[in-house]
Amino acid sequence: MRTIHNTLASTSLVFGLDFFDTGSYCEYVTINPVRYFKNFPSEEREKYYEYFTKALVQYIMFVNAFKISQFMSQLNSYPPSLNKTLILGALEYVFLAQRKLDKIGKKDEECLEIVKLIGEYLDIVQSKLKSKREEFYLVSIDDAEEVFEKIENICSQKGILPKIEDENVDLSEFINGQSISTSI
Amino acid sequence: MANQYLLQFDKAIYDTNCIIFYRFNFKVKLRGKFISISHYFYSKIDKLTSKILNSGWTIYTIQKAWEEIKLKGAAKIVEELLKAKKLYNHIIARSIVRKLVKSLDELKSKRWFIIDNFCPSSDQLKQIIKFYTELPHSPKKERLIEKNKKPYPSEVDLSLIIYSSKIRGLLVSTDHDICDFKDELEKNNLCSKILPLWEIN
Repeated sequence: MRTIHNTLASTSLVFGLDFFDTGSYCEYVTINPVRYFKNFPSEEREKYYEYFTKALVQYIMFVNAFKISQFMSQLNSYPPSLNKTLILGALEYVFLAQRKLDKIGKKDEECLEIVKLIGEYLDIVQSKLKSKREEFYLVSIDDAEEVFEKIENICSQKGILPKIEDENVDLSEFINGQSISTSI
Repeated sequence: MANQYLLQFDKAIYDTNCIIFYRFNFKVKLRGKFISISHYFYSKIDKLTSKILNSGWTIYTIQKAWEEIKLKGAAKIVEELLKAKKLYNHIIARSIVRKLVKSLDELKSKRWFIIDNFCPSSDQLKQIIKFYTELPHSPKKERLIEKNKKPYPSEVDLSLIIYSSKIRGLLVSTDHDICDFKDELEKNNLCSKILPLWEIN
């Protein structure tokens, strides 16, 4: 985390930019990176854009991973419900998607699109978890499911992970080092 | 066991678990091979359902039970079953739950399956709560209290018992809160006949 923070901070300093608040800064660059970099010297622009994008992807992935683990541990203590199962499954999926992104070397811009969307999903989940534990099963999670569907579509199109509901999908693709019995 | 009821009734009431078990039969691909995931009660409820549908029965449940199935019951049974089969993983659970909910929605569209918006009156509820509360102490009653943290079953279970009496249908259940007190409930005319699913051969 410190390395990512330093990367963003030092790159900002090169261009005489203020860097006080990593969160809002990242948010700004994430929302409109092209506008942000248009005043940079043209010969340097691409290099630093890539540099920023890589650091941003790492930063957002880090924040996402932290939230995923926090929400999973919170949800694990909830009583069984449809909402709980759907969200835990989706959290596991986005966790695996981020891990795969780290490994398969996709272009930074593609990664940025996916990790931003995962961040959006996690923000919605966070808002749902504000409800009382015992009333969580009554909360509508349709908006979260809609964003998760977008994540699944992108991951499937880009060959990162198949959709969970795909016909003939081999569910072992989603097993993360767990021991699963296949003899039933 | 079911044959003796075929001439007596023309309707069955399925409790929440029976409805879930009836739709719980899926194939999933794992490590390159397709495996079946079904509940161990599936064959019993499937056999019973075929038999009663062939005899022209209608299957009923109540809206409260249906909501409980969709919001909680289906997920609970998926979690328990996958854990028992050492197959539990959050993504597999999500996949099976989605399949189950889809299958339940298909069931809702069958013309022989009716969801009744029944609500018992407070007097009916009071009467059956009094019955359960006054039951003498026994290991079965202790189990009931331990599970529900009170000496009577959930409101959904109580409503199903009352509903069976109202429509004179066979109440099919796997719930110990209902089946363990079958004889006493029947003797006191608080329900119609109760058929514990495990008694089906």
